[in-house]
Amino acid sequence: MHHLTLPEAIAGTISVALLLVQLALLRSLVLAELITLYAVQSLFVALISLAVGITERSWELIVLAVLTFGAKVIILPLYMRRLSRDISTRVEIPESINVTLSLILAAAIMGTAILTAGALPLKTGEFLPQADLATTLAIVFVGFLVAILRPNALAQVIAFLTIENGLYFGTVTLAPGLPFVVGILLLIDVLIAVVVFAVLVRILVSQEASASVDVLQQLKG
Amino acid sequence: MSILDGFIVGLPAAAAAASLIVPSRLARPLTACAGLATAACILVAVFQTSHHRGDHDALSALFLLPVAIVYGAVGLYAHWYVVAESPDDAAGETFRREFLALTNAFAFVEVVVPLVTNVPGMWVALEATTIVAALLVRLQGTPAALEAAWKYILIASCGLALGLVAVIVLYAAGERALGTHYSPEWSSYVHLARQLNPDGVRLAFIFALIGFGTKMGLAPMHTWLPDAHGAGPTPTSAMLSGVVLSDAAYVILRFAAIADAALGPTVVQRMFIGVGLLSLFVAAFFLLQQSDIKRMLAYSSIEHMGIVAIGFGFGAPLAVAGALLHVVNHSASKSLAFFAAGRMAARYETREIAGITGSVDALPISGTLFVAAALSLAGLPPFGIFRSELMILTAGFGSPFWIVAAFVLVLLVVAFAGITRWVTATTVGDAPMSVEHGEHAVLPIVGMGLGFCVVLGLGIGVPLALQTLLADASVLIGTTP
Amino acid sequence: MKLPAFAIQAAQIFTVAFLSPLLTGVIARAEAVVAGKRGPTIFQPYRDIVKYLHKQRIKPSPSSWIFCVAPYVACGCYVTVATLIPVLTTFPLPGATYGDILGGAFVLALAGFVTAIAGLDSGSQYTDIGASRATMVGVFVEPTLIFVFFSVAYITGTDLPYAMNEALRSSAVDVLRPVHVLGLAAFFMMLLVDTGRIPIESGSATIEFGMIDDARLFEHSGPEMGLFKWGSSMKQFLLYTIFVNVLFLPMGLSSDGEVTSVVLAIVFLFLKMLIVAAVVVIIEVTYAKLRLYKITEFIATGLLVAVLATFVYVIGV
Repeated sequence: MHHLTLPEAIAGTISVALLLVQLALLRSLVLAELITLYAVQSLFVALISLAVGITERSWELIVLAVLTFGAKVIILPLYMRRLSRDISTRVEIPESINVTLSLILAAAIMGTAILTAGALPLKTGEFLPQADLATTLAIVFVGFLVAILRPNALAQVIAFLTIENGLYFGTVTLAPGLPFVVGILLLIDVLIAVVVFAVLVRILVSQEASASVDVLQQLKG
Repeated sequence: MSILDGFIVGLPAAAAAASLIVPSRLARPLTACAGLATAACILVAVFQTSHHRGDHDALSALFLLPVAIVYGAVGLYAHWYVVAESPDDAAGETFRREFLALTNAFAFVEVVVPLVTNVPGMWVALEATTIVAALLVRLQGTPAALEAAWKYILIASCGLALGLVAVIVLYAAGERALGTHYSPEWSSYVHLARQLNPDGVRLAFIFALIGFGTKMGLAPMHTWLPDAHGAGPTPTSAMLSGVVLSDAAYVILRFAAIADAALGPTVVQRMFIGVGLLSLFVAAFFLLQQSDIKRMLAYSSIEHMGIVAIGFGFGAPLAVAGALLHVVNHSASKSLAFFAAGRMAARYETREIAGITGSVDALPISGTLFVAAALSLAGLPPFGIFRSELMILTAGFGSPFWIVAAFVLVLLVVAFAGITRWVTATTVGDAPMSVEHGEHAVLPIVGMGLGFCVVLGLGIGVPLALQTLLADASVLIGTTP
Repeated sequence: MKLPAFAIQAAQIFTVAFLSPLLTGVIARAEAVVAGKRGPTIFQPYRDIVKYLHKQRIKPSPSSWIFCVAPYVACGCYVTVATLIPVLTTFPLPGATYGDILGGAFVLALAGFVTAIAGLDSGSQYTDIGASRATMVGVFVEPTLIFVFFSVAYITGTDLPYAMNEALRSSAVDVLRPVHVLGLAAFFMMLLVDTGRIPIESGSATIEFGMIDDARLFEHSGPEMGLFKWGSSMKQFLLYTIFVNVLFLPMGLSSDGEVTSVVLAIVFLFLKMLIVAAVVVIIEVTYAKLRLYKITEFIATGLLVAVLATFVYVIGV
């Protein structure tokens, strides 16, 4: 049975923590909690980026880690909190199926992601390549599930942002040699997505004079 | 990067920046000139590549053509469009400037995609197109437009997230052969394809097909397409249908080339056929029940992208060349159709097909061109799409997948029925008295006319330069003889 | 002086039987003290059980022999489980070969089943509700426990409680692996559920409409009630023992069977349990009881954590 070295153990623990946070997204029906969970997840991702950067002696990853921390742990959550206060008087978001069932679905999907990744004998990247790919896929898939099951625009944005977190995690652990530019662009991507969302939402709310951003179901067929 | 490339990329960028600053009455002709100039530069570059000069490979050059065709026409069309769609006050001026700047920026990011040579860069460029397109789709500010923009950016970004997984997995698959830090150029992957980790390449291709297929409009990831193309402004729909779909196809093809070289053709072909057939099926049946003219055209885009995927799936050189030609043909026909439909929608002030009757009466040239474009999309000769569909189907019947080809034929008939039904609905009858008769605008007609020349020209004969290009590109992708 | 095996076995059973009310008493007293009250003495549960044994027994008319037999069966099950798990020693005693940890889980489930049936048998509405809720809770709790045991079994490579104890004692690092930590978390959540503490039930007050475990016992009286109370203390003691000796703190057990080490083992066991009890008391005074339908969410979360533990093992963390 495989015994782990210390860096592997730390990376493993952080991966598990990331997965737990991703699943906790489904437990919560309160927007403020979702934002906090996102901030916590970004913190873990920044830590991993820092750890890999130090191990690989890659200044790019360290810079990215710091930028991630600043942007995703501090600035974005604050901005989104203010946004959610401005646009919505409701604290809870609606759900399409109840929490228990969504948790079970999430377990099933996570299992699929992990088994898919487990079937792939990748021997690359830092630490535990199979675990990293499994974690990345699991975070992405559960993020999709959250976006599907919570028909509220802000919740969907947060789901998308957690998917980007998972991707960043995958980039850092599986392909640390990928250009620095990609990491920066992921970050910019995230910022732009939030800005676009903010623009859309403000216009929507001012037009509809509605206090909620539950996603419309007008266009069909 | 050569000077020509500099122009191709720089002209739209400069136009975008300028449109933000100068008043719209200057920005409009500026956009039109930028469009035509860029198109000319692209044609020169394509010509060079077909004679094996210049520093792009045939695939890049080929996929620059849709940009040339669409951007060139859009510039002329937008000249009229922004004035027709916005009031004459300060808010309207803001709308016009924003629209022109964004349209030029959209052309800029679209033209970058085929020019980038490394794999992550392709992803970045596609992501940029998503963002700019979402800003354009929402510009009109109606709730439908907002919902469409929201769905678009969410679904496209999620799809691109999967695409990024593909990029990462491909990178990891290459580490065995290329070391842990390497520059992920597409050419390096293809040259060393045999040494890449095959499971990684397979996983990467699957994710690439699903992820980038979302941007290409393949079912079952197509749900954003009818909304975005239907609710957005007409020039944007033309650019989305005409160029972004082909840009996404380009990126998928790059991945397919790597997978083909590393794993052999079977996996790639089967997946292409599966996805293509599903898209064609979904589109053909939804086409029959549309009531909005632009949504109908959007479903037609899904149908044609399905045909392109099936063409790549058949694998024979004729099929692959046919599919590549189909991309170009579709860009030309679809943009023409959107332009004409846009003129009709603006004149009749509705997008419902039921509200548009007697279009040839009210808008003689636009109406006729719409009929021509729609018939071309339905696959009638002497237009270009007929030729490329013929190439694909001929090769298909000769390949081991001939049953698929038979299905395709049946579904094409269904789609034909759908399109002709709606086209006849708009043409037959008398135009209502409240609708103004006569074209009353020159530039959009010129733009549409240029598009029509391409549509007809490619149907009558494919120029030699283009044939060489198609052959070279097929070799790059990898075919089974 | 080295004790013979059957003596240690008897000591094990007596420990479980006679120390369990003490644990209950300590927890009740601690809760009260933390809340600023004086609280009952720690020997109060003993007095309660003795009191019940002297009271009159009343049997509701629609009930049958199941009603009478259930408490004895339940206590019997608990005593059986006491022989299976490592309570005092690190080496397996004669009774340990009867079953592995899954067998222990099944026997515990049998006890719960019998209690629920007895509740249904009595025909009263409160016991019906209690029985149905307890079964609903059991639907999620049992798979969670099984997953937890599986994940620990993955690490230690065995299913037998004594062997698990051995394996965990020999490599301390394994206790801190994410797999194990997740398993511990899931088991702790199920511990809260099965022993009926916050956030599932309020242990100190009886709120009839929200009760789950206690409601099943409503109709019993006299000695049977005493047996049930004793039984639930024993169940709590057993679950704590499994948590502490098999999963969490596998130290302090007697390895040679000497009288002194066995006595010390009893003391250490109780001390380790007090640590867990302290955490439970803190949770009791910090959180509020969950609404009834949110209880399934809580349990589903526990199930998810347990499932995650298994998956995490698959990816090799």
